Amino acid sequence: MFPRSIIKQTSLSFKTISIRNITFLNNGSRICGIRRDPSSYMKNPNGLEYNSLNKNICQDKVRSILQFDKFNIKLSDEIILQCLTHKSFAHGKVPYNEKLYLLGAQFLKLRTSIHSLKNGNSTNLINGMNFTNLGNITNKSLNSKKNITKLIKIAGIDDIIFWKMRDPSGNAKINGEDRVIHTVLNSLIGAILTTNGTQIATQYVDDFLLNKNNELSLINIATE
Amino acid sequence: MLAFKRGIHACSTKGKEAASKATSNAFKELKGVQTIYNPRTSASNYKGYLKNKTPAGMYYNPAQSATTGSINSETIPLSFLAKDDPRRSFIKQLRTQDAVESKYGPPVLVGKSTVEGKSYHLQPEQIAEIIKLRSSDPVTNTRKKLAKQFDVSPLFISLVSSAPKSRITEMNKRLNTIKSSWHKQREIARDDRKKRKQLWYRA
Amino acid sequence: MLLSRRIPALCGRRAIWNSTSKGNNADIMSTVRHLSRSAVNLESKGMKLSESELQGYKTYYKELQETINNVPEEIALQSQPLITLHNRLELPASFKLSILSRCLTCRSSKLPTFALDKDKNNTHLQAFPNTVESNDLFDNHGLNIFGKNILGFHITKYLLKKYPRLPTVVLNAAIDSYISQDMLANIARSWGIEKEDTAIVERYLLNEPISLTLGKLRYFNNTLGKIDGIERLNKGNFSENAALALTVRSIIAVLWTIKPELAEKFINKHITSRKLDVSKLFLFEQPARELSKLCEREGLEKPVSRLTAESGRLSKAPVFIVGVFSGEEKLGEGFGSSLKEAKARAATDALLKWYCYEPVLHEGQAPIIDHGTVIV
Repeated sequence: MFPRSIIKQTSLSFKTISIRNITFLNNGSRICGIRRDPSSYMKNPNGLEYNSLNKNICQDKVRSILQFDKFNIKLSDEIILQCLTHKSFAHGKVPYNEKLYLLGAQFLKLRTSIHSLKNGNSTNLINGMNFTNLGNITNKSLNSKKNITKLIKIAGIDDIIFWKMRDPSGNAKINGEDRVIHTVLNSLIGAILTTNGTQIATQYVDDFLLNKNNELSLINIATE
Repeated sequence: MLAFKRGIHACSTKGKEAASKATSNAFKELKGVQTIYNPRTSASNYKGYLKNKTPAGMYYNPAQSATTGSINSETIPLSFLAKDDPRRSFIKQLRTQDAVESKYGPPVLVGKSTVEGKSYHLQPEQIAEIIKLRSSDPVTNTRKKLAKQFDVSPLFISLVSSAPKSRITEMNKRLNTIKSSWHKQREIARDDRKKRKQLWYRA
Repeated sequence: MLLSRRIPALCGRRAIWNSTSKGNNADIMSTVRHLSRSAVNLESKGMKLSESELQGYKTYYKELQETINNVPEEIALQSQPLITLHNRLELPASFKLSILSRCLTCRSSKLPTFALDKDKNNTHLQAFPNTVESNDLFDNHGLNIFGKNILGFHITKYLLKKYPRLPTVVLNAAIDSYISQDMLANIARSWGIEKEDTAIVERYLLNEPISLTLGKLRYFNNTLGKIDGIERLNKGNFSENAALALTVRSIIAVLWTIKPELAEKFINKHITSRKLDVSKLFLFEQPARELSKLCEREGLEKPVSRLTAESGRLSKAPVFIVGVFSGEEKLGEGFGSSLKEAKARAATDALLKWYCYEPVLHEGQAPIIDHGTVIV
């Protein structure tokens, strides 16, 4: 706890008033009414600082693991950081990934159902596509929270996600880890869709995430 | 249809002078439907509109309604537009009266912190004291008194501490006795006021 | 009653529809009071069902079932309602009528087979005398799932492109207003899709060609008529609206299989072309607080509300016009009969202008990824 002097100029009325304000900032546990020191909440559960982020350990890592260059995907550093930030982080002061997640989730759901349409064995086909197995468990589990969280963890991206734990001493289930971590992949897909267009996004999802030959694909991880 | 242009607040004479001096925008303005006859006395004479010939070109035909609740692009403030929005230059030209209004318009319902600036000068020990005082003797240590004592607002006292349950139930009881003495009309009027208030936030 | 003597198993049992959300493996004990009632009606009209007549009915029933299980194109081509629907929707020629008929068959339109099987042990009875059991595979179930996915994605993409800054709650409400079940049902009704309302017996007695029923919506509809004073128990998945929505989604899904662009064009034509005023979906609480948070986040000056015009302050109906200013720029304006009201309206107006901003993407503006709803 330490005081910080802030000099402010206010010109609300017709005269200008110069005011010197003293602000006490709280570093420790939460006290209702005291302002928090930003350095205490601007870091993720692994201690990574938001403001002094090293591109190599964060954005470039994402780009290389998820093979963006191979598919000619260009996402700026800010957008990747936004995708890695969950709504719970810093009380929404920094850009977070909720909307991108919604779009990406819908897109992924569509692509996984197309994948199951094309890879089915049934005699009853409509225009060459198999609709019988659409709703069954194996296809639904491809883009389930659990599966995507597993992919992110195996990829090693989960330690650079910015979120806030409900209870740092509690286990993953209490903190809702699944729910937070799976938003990252979906929001990256959403960002690719918005900035790079539908074609590149389709190609990426089909050839990387839904390609059983690829190690880091949803199919392989579901069967593990 | 006569064109209406709302002027600045009548009491502020300085503002009125400044407003009239404010430069009009670069577009040619077209206010209402044009007639060649007197628009006030011959508004219903169709021949005036028929015979009218405005020169071809780009005009600015502003909506005569207020901008409240509209999400048209011409009403969006400049700061809310994206940095690369092609409409920025046009919007800039439309907003000439804003500066005058902001300079001469009296502030409405501003809080003390807006005028003087926020100050977070309380320390944890003082906050603990507030909580202790309020919970021990809520009757003498009211919000107002504590606020004056610690140089904060009564709202802050509410945020930080809460009155003991006994106090809350006692005050609610008093409120209910007052409410029960209301005439039915008063009750309905108050209820209507509440519903009307909801509509403010719907735009 | 002649009929009841022939098929004793059909009558005299209570109907309990016990269903899962997918409608599979339904455990049903049913009665066909309707059938017996039809027989009563017919008897009163002087018609009597004889043995050969019953046989004729059985053949008709079996034919109906086989046709619906795997609609041959020739029969579908004879179906007037199918052709009309096909033309009305301007569907491409590669969209076969048999598949269109499949779109109109819901999974819940299952029917008893026991009447045709010699299997006396089969006690699963259902009393949906309108429809014939469809093969598990030949209905619109899978198509519906896929259609739902397509619709969800396209509408989300469309809305996020049009209003990138819309808050999530409002976005969900807007998506709902485009593709909720009731909305799709209304669209289907406007296309003129009728439901199959007549019992199979009546159809047989009218010598109705089977192709006619192919063009109507077939789902679980309990035909205990309104005249009997009996209410339809159509909850959730088995209501008419649900069935109509299934049809719309299936048609879109089939269009996608022909060509994905066709599906998108169809969605644009029938769904996204509808007008939705997003500003009406908002309801703020503490907008002034949210606005000041927004200004802080975006790096604008602290918002202050100022009175720009007023009239009749001490009268019964005053008018105040208040604008919210951030520095020298006016963010929003509000009117009211009290200063408080005008200030509240001004703050909501400013927030509305932030959230409902529409970029001009076709003029070269980069797509906007907004930073999220303001969290107070």
